[in-house]
Amino acid sequence: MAIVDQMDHTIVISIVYDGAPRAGKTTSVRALGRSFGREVYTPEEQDGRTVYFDWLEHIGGRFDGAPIRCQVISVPGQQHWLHRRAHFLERADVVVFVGDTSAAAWAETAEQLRDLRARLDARDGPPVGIVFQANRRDASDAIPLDLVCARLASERMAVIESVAVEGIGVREAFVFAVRLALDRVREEQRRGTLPRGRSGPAGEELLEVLRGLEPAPAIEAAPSTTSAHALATPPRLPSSNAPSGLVWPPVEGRIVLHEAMTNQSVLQLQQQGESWFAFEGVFQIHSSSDAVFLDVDAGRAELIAWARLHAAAQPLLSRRRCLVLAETGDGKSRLWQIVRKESSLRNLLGDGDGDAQDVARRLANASRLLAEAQALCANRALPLCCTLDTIGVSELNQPVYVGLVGDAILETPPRISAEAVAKDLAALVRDRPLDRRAEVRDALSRVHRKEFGPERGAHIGELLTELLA
Amino acid sequence: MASEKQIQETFDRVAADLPGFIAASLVDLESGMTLGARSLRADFDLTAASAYNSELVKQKQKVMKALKLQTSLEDIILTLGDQIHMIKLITPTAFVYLAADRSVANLAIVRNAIAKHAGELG
Repeated sequence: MAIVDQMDHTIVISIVYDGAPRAGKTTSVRALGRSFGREVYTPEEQDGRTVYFDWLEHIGGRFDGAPIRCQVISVPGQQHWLHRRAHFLERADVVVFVGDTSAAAWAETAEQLRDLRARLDARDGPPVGIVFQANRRDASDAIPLDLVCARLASERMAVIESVAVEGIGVREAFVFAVRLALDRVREEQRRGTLPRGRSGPAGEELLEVLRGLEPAPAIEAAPSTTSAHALATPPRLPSSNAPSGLVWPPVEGRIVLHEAMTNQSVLQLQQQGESWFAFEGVFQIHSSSDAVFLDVDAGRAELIAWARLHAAAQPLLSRRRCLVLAETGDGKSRLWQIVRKESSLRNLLGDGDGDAQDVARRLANASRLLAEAQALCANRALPLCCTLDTIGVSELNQPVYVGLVGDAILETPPRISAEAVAKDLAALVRDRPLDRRAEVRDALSRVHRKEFGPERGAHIGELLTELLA
Repeated sequence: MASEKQIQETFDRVAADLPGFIAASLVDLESGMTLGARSLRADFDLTAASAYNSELVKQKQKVMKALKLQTSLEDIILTLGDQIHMIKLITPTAFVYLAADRSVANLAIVRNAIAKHAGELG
């Protein structure tokens, strides 16, 4: 928490780096340290992961004439060290949330962010700002930035892109965070609640404090391979005999449920944040952290809400899917979403190999399918995120939504720009040799505009050709 | 909206008032999901019937829209060889679907029984 240190007359602020495991918190703080020419203090690591914290102190800038002392701390991301993370979050003046924005990691990022928001909202005093440091922008499956922003639209936070391993965007995120922290300090000052005294412990002293807070004496006893996934008990999967009225769609849904649960032994439930997934086998099975209900009526109300949204989206949704409200075995109910796996456009496009003419046609077709899917969503106000990973193709060459319907369904539908789609498509051939890219670009210029789909599709085609130049 | 238990209790009262009662359900129109149901026959698949009847209601509403009829759909009555099926819209998003034995009940009794208890379901 911010304090006016009466020893050296500095304003001390606490900037906490939070995020899911391996999102790039330590990398960000170390990159920041390098940019300030300072060492980062890390008491202990296990398999390259932070166990206690990473610590960096930097004095720079002034606030009402007083020097600003920034105490930068990154917290351990693993569930096992949750109490350590909580300790720092309770004292943060601002949080830089390092979010892995690759498509594969988004679910975990979103879960961790939800948890962070809940913790910060529960705190007293002026609100604690969050800077979303959108990391891993260099990942091949990085979610387009405007889509990331759309998903975070309701979260009241600034978004700054970064590639922490290269130090890109890290300092910008930090500078913005300092501004937010100082806004909070000013508000505390206005309320007359800004404390004065001696700032809290730093470095090794802080480690001792933290050790003193440990619930168990054997701090080092945790095996290095322990993960949150191993500690949590997977929930009971839904039964194919779920009662009538608890499965949607009422008839076909039961068939899907039966098929998915026929061979439960191959289903390996995995935890991502507080959600549970099973991606192995033929089905994707998902249940989010807030999908557990103490009373069945509340669960049923949620099931109906989701069923209505699915029913409205049926023209675009793949057919082989269902929702089921199932008993957890301890008197509660859990809502599950089960979707039979179907190829997405990304799967169908492959890595851009093959005849250039063929690749160009496939890109044009993907552009058309995405444009048509997005147009359908816009016309019907369907809050589905249409991307290369969530859209597939039907036997009639029409777009089909093959992904899991995300929690974002309850929010405003995101609108993905033509630029973002073109960028995503271009990424498929961007890494190919120059002459190969030129071949594809030439082939693209020969594809008739109409093949790129509606007006927006043609625009995507033009942008794509430019991006490959 | 009434809870599932309250819906079932209402249908128990409908069954008590209606000789020949076979089954009834309160159905969410948009999704076809049953919000509550009561059946006296184990072989009567009320879940499937409710889902398919929600399509029937939606199709009828489309017909009305196509004909530019400036009115609302109140109920649909289907007369089978041995049963009477009645669909009664309770709210714009939910309807009651009821099946009764035609040899015991008649249309007036069915209508009356539903009308008497419909208010408890809205």
